[in-house]
Amino acid sequence: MLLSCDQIKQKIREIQLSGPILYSTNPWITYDIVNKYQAGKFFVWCSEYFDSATAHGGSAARAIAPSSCPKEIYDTLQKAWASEDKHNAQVKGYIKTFRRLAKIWLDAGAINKDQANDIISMVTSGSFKIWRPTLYVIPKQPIEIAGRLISVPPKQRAAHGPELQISDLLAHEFDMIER
Amino acid sequence: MINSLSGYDNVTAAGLLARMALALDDAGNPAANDRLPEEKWLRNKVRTELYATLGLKLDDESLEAIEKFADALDTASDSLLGPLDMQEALASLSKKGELPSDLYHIRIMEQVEDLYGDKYPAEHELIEATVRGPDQEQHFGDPDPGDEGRHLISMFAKHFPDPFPYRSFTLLVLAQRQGTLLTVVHSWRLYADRVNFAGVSDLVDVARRFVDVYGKDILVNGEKGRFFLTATLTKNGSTETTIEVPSKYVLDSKGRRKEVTSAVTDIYCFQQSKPAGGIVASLLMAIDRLKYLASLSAHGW
Repeated sequence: MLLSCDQIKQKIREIQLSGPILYSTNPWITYDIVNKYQAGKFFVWCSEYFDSATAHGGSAARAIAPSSCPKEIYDTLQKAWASEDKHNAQVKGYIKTFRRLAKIWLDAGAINKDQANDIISMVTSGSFKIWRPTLYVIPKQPIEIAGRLISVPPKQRAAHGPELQISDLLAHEFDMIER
Repeated sequence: MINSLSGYDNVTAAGLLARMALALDDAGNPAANDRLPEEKWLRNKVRTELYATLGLKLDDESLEAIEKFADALDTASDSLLGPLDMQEALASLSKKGELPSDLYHIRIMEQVEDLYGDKYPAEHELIEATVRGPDQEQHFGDPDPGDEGRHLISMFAKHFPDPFPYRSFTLLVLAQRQGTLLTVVHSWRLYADRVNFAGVSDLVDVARRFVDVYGKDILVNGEKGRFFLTATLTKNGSTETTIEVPSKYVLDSKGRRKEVTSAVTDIYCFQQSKPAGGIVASLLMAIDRLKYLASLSAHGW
């Protein structure tokens, strides 16, 4: 049987399907802040592979950079959280991001000055409890069917492996777990 | 101040700078998208100005240059919004029950030490561990900004597993918070074989289950019960005069009535007087101390 070009592409896509789940690692405070101030609408980086290091040698998953691998991010954050490592680059990065988001949301009128101060004081307070890692387990199918799964352009990836984003993930669309 | 943004108010300018900084680190984040009609042009102008200030060449796209640029954007946007009074901000978070619990200064009331006696030091450590890293926490209170004297209530729970499952327990800590001070009013060990956790909805429910097992009946404004979530106390404006532990008695061998006074720990997590009069007390309960301590001993405490 001869297949059309589109059918071949579809077959290839089916073969490449890695699994029905997407994984995203985020600190606990993300869940709290987004639920409180953004009506539970999350922007997440995610991956079809929880642990790319254990993927088959020739697979695309193997090409995912450790800094984009959910398991690696989780382990690094957990170590930083458990040892209260104030100089951890990941934690510093999250602090910067939340400070920026507070200003952006304030400018957009999504939050008021007090709420912006709450976010900034919370993330800069020195608390380590808030950086406890959590893993979002996201069923892929509904997101993919709705065309909401964004493939990150190669230029913006940490390495050659596939990286994904969802810009409007809702709180009821994933399960948050801790290892 | 960045000259390119001189025509904008501080919040708008800070927002733009924050979007620029976010776009450098978190590409694809919709929060970094343009908001102003002329934003692309403005971003270029700001970049040119800041690169010149930092002594960077405009075509320098090295990681170091980008990092310097991002830091400069952050510093500029911070200065536009003004300094943040951290102590005030933390106290405000506490009032709303949103202060991360590992930031509280913990004080433990004497009645806790009195209950645990010689074994208090170990209990003290467990209380601190529970407050700093609880499995569950719940914060209550009326965050009335005008009432500085109000005590707000917090509850924390943490499971402490033991190699012998029978000895595993959940520690429930009740505390009042005022500013960044957390005063622990009581702390109890809950063993799963004694206290039924099935279907508990929250920590108040956990406390209620605990009281079901170890509580004593009390009279609050004449109403008998073991657990009162809140009660308005009116008589004489004092908790002691309005909460009573009904006396129990036994009949001795000659049929004479003999009053029994068992050691009872009264717990009041009360709030301040209401303008309309009276005191609103929360989480009112009385615990049979002997029964509780016997339960601890039975679990190898």
